[in-house]
Order: sequence, then structure tokens, then C-alpha cells
Amino acid sequence: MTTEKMKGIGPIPESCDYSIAVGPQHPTHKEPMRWIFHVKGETIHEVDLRLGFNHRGIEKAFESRTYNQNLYLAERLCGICSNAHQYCYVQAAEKCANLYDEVTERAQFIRILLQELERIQSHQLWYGVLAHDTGYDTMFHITWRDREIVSDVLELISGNRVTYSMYTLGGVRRDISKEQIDKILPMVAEIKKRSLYHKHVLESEKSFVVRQKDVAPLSAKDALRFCANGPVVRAAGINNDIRKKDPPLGYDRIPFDIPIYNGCDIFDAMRVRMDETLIACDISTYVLENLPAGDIRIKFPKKIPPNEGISRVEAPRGEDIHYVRSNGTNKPDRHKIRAPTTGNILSLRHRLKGAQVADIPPVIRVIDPCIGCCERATFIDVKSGKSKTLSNAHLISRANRAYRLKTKVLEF
Amino acid sequence: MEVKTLDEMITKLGSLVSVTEPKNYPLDRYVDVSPDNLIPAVQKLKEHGVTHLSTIPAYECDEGYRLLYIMSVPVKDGKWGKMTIVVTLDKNKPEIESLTSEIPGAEYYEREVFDMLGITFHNHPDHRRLLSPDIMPDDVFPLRKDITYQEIRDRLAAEAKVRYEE
Repeated sequence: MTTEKMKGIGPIPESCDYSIAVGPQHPTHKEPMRWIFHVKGETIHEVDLRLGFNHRGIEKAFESRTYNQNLYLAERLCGICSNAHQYCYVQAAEKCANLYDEVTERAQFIRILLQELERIQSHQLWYGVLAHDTGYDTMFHITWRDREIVSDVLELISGNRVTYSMYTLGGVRRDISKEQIDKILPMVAEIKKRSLYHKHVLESEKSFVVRQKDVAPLSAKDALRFCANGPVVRAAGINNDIRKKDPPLGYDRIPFDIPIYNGCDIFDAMRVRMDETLIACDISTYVLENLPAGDIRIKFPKKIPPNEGISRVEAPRGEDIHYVRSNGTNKPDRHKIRAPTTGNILSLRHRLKGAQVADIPPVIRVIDPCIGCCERATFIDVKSGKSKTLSNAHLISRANRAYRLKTKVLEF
Repeated sequence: MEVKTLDEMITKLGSLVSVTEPKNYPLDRYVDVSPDNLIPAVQKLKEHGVTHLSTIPAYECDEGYRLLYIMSVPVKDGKWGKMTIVVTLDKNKPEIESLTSEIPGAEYYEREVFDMLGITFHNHPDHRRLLSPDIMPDDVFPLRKDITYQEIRDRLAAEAKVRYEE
């Protein structure tokens, strides 16, 4: 293997006449990733992707902290699906300690409530940004205004609006009182009403729909081939929802449906998420009305004997997997996280081929990429840990140098 | 042709796998497979409707390097069981055949394992690092146990000096 091959970006194929670099920093992206689109005319022929700009070393950090400290690290993987990662982590650690089945019913239901409320806020955020990406900024402002309600609900339950810190090993940290339930139920009804309005507007606005229908389809066959996950697969007619397929404890006792469409395109991925928002409202209402009595947590040991546990949950973006390996101490031996985005990037690369350059923003948006979750493993600290003051001139010269390096790579 | 339980699937795999001890939960099973039997075992799983590879966690242990292929097996009631195929590689010869010929979705997971632990996947379509920076030296693999934080930092700083500073 040559050093050239090790570099992030491959050469331009001969059939293409231009290469467009998008990112790492670009208005389309909310997070850093570098796409190279090899185009012929306006059509994309080949796609190359460089990841690694948000690589913080979290997997390594997990190994040097105790199980209790890791609770708060797990939810800091991502700002939007913080709850899903914490959910996944506590379940994997409970499997390691053989306590998975013993979590009380009340704790299971409160966990589900948090997870579904997070799904609502994540999906509302997503279709707001999709509207923004397709140039429909009015809807972007409306959805984000209405998303405040679900943030208020989450604040009422947990005290926080982004990282809720509700879960703990063996249960949840806070209980939900009768007064809180009385306050939350009308708010959830209001969320559902507004989500229905969003669904009505977004599905009937012609200029918005035309940007999405039959754009960059991902067929069921390709979705299976590339091991895609999450709503994009349900938009291709396959039921892969972990809440039904490999449910976390408690989901079996709640009646709900999985929305499935067959259009394979962005529009159907949007409809899946719209319906899921409404269903998440129903699940939240059901949980609040049928909350079982009992304790909210069980005692959890500080040290876990050697064992391993894999757990997965349906995060708003798709299947989230954590693997925990314990070694008898109070720290894990290995912690592996696979966020939904990592599983979807390959299918996204595939569906971008053949798309038009103007469609790049909504197509990238379709998997709801979250680079914060996607890249975590080790550490990038180029400056060797020393504190060193860099002058402006030095920074500019470094930037220019990096820029020159990039152009050289593109000339291959 | 779908199976009813994960244990039935394990009996169908027969001599390709060995089960060390039954542990964990009904929808979780771990089976040991030798590196040569990995592709035949996955082919056998594919005959029973298995297509989804979730991820490949890997770590270094006393016996060498261990890879865990987490596959979703359709079982009764429309559920998916997690069958984890455990492959242990020799420390002096960290090489294995790539799974991308059977499951194209394994491409990025294998690239990440190569990036972090330096395990070579033969016949991989795009055998490059995935996450670490361009200046990462060719022989440094961050999650190996024989390299420390400080060493990686020093190597990266030395490489950065050559590339970026006059």
C-alpha cells in the first residue's frame, strides 16, 4: 500500500470532467465532512468522502472512566440524539452485569417516554432543515418555532433541554409526578396538532414536493446490500424498526404501528419521519396515561465481572449499537459505538451517483447525517499537548499550506 | 427459509462454528469461527435471509486481535436476533479476507478496523484509513495496546512538523 493510497481522497476518474469539493466547512453542512463530487456536466458520476474532522477520541475516553462517569460521556456523543446513546449504553452495561431484565416497569416506561419525546424533537428539527435545504425557509422557521414545545416538555421532565441526564445504570434518575403528567398531556396534544399542520403543509406545497419526488432513489435491494438503517430503509418498503424487531424492554406492551412507504425517494423518507412524529406523540400519551407504579431504579454494582453486552435502540436516525466489554474492574475494557450515520454513509454515496448537482443538499440531508456521533473513536491532537500561542501570520500560512495540499491532491 | 430461534441457526451452521458457552439473553448469541470459515459461515447465514451486518467491534486481547461481526438473524414473530460471529486473529499475522464480496455494507466498518487496529482485509475495494488524519504515520494504529497516548502525540507532532512547518 503506497502512501498516496493512504490519503483521504482518491484520483479523478477519466470519464468525468470536473471535481467539486464541498466542505469540510460549507453552508450545506451543519457539521464538517468533505465530499468530492466527480461530475460530467451537471450529473454526479463518482463520489468520494473524507471523514475525520470531528474525531474526538470518545471510545478511548470511555476506557479510562468508570461506568457511572461514562453515563454522562455517552450522552455527549451527539446533541440531538443524546438520549438514544445513553439508552443504548445503559442497556449494554446492564447486559454485562446480567441485570437487564430486572429494571422496573416504571423505569422502562419513563425511558421510553424520553426516547419518544427525543424522536419528536429530532424529526421536527430534521424536516425544518430539509425545508431550509430546499429553499423553503418559511417552513423552517415555523417548525423550529413549534419545536420549542417539545423542548419545554423535556425541560419540565428532566430540567435540561439538550442533554437530559435522565437515565442511570439500573433505572432512571428522576421520577415523574402526577402534576407533571397533568401539565405534559395537553402539551403533547398541542405538539401533535402542530405536527399534523406541518404534515399538511409540507406534503401539499408543490415547489417543495417537486424537489424531492423521485430524486436519488434508494431501492430496497440496495438498502439491504449496503446495510442501511433507519427511516430511509422504511421508505423503501422494508420494516427494520428496532422497536419491533429487537425491542428494548417495555416496547412490547405498547400498541403502535410502523409507517412504511414504497417510494424509495426523499419524499417518502420525509413522510416516514412525519408519521413517526405523530406516532411518537401517541406513544408518549399512552405511556403517561399508563405509567406503572413502583420504584424507578435498582441497585447497580460498581464493578462488573468479565462479560460482554451488545444493545441496540431505534434512535431517531436509525439503528444505534453499543458494545461494552467488562473486565472485573469499575472501568470497561472496550466500548464500541456505531451511530446510525456510519451505517448509512455507504448507501448515501451510492444514491448520490446519478443525481444533479443542485440536488446535493436535500440528498445529503435524507439520512440526517450526524458527524458528531459518526466519528468518535480515538484522538487527534496534533499540537502534542503543549500549550503554544500561534500568531495570526502563522495560522494564515498554515491555512494556505493546507489549501495548496488540497489542490495538489485534486490534480491527480 | 427462516429459522425459529438463534439456537436452531447455530445447529444449521454445524461444524463451521463452535459455541464456547451459552450466555446472555435469548436474542443474543456469540459463536466462535476460525478466520478461514468466516466467508462460508456468512454464506450459510445469507441462505437463511440474513443480510444486515450492524458493525464490527474489534479489540486487542491476550490471544491476538478479536473481531465481532454482529449479524441480524430473522427469527420467529418477526424479530431479529443478534448473532455475533467472533473471529480471533494471530497477533503476528493480523490479516483476514474481506467480507465485502458477500456483504458490500461491510466496507466502512472494515476501513475503521484497519484504521484503528491495523488489521489488513484482503480483496477490500478501497483499503484506506477512514477517520485518522492524513499525517498519521503508516505504522501507527491508535487502539493497539503497545502504543500510548504520548507516543501517538509525539509521532503526529513530528509528522506535522515535516509537513506544515518550514
